[in-house]
Amino acid sequence: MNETKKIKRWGKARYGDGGPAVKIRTESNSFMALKTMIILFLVGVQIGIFVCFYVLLGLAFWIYLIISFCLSFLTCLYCLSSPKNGLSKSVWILVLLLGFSFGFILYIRSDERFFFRGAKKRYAAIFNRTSKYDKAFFQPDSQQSVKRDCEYLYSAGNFAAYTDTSIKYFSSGTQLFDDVYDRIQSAEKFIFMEFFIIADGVLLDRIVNMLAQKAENGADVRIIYDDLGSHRVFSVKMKKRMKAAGIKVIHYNRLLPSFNIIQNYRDHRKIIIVDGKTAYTGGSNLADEYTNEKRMHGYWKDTGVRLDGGAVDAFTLMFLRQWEYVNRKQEDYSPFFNRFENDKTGGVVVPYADGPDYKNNIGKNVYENIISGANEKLWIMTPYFVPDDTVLGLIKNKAASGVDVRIILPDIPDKVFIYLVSRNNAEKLMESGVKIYCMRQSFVHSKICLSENCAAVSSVNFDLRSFYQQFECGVYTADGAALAEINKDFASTFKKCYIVDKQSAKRSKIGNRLLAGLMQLVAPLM
Amino acid sequence: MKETADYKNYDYIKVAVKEKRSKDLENMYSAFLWEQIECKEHNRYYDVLNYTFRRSRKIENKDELLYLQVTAESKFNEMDKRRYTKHAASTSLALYLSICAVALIGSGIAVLLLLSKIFYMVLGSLLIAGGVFASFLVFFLLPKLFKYENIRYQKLYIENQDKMKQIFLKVTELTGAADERNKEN
Repeated sequence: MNETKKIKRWGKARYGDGGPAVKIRTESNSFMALKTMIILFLVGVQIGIFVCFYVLLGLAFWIYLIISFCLSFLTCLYCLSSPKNGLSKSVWILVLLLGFSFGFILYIRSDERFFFRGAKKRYAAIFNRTSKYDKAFFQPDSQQSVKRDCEYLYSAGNFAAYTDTSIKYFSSGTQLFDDVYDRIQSAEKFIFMEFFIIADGVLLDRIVNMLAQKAENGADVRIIYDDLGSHRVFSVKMKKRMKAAGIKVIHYNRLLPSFNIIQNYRDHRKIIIVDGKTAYTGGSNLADEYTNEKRMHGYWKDTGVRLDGGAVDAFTLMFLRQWEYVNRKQEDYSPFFNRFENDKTGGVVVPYADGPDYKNNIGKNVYENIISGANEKLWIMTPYFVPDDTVLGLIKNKAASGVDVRIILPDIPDKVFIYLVSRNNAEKLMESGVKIYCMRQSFVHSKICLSENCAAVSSVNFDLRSFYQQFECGVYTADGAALAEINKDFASTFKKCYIVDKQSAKRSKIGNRLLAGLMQLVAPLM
Repeated sequence: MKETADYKNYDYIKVAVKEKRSKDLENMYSAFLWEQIECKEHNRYYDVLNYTFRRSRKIENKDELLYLQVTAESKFNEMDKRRYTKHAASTSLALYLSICAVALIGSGIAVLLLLSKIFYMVLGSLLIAGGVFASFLVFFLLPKLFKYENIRYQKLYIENQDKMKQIFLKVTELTGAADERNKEN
């Protein structure tokens, strides 16, 4: 069809006259931004109505004030007995006592023991039914600290160690997705993907074209995406296109404008499984910024791993359980297992998962174990650094006892408030001898914790949300070759970083420090 | 793009650039091994061109090149931004002082003409004196500030050019090393 309609020229570029000369697809979807604003506004209105109602009730009926104070006090005691971390408990007690006329209701609405119970029961039923697919405990022949970590992972979540799996480390999202694209081309039976963010763009187009071909050829293609992570960027049009092509796409935890703790539980995992023979995980989501095809916050540094071998079954099980939860349909998992080609490498690889479906905070504890076991070096790469006191204390002690502790943070933040808190926390560690690096002109999205014996490459940020609320996954490894690659990546990344010195930390604006303090109060509530 | 994108073998990138910097952009991207396949006018802004480049998906040192490319792009944009804000401080100060001078002189004259008491005559004179002082500041202080801004801009421009040179030296090393290996193979 000939385009005969003349497009009216708007004149000079709006982003000129002081703006960038070059723009590389940094456009945002203004409609979806409006949707986010509406949701936030509705949640804000709910909280406002809720608070006003209970305050007015207190003013109208003085007896209510006495009852609410007693209830808030009892809730404080209840909170103290909860499994929350210390910082969260302190902040909640402050909220309960200061806002006693409505605090106890807020707390109850935020407590997973009331509002996540049904979901936990469903997860427990799925885990019971599929426990036969868990691999038996295997103690690898390795160093003592690695053996202890493997024992912990098995006791915490039945995550077995594998030594028949090759592991390849990718030092960028570009490398990872190039490999994924090549691997998908030879897929035959099934392709499973689970991401926090799936975004329209060049990368998704490329992958979906390939997935559509595979679905047409009879492969079982399934994708789980988190509705909060993807809501602004994953269009309905693309979802329809994928479904029409035979790709099964399903959201995890629909985003609703309601003030509810369940809205806070998000699927932060990043998993790709191909034919039960290859699995990928790491920090990269399925969006253009992860491969630097879109400019957001400078250079986007990310990492990931590829597994080929028995350990892929662990990821397959993780995915299928989550699929059963969101799809609400039982199925036989056996066709998806034991499809790998045996590859005896000797390196220890332990895939693991974390989330509200597990009793322990596995992601956090893996980091704690690695930190505790480090005797020579402890190198961390993370986009956010808002851990709880336990992790901070362990890191401080390690640095003070002479271990080479280095943390790489982004130079360009994606969320300014969290970045302020992260820098504030990191700078507090400097007194203990921790070296803080910021990667120039970059946003570091990798989540790696490396010691001289082992490493964890995962989706777990060093923040409270990843530790306590989100569904996460990762790989713990003591494989020599993988550790060498991770070391090499750290070494080349250090060259691109500047060290945050104490003088520049002290010179940070007082406003920023006050804001960081305020955000520190709010962080445990999220 | 007129041809169908060959995602199996190539990476693609779309860039919008101001027309007066388009040659610089073409040179910059060609150093990073990007091949221009399309250039067309922006459908809304007459001074902007939309480029599409492609590059082989399998190249050596891809991550390093990408990092250097992003750094080069930010330096490319930085100079434009600095060019437009070169005299921002002196311009805003000049405007502010001029408006203050006019307001002070005007209000001083108004007070002198409309009010006859001694207090108001003194006040009016002071306002006019203040306005005249502000005018002197504009005439004598601002050229110095302007000169300082020019010197600072020159310095930043030279620094930026040096950084760009360093980036392109590294790029030449990386792409040159890849070429030599290809020749050996």
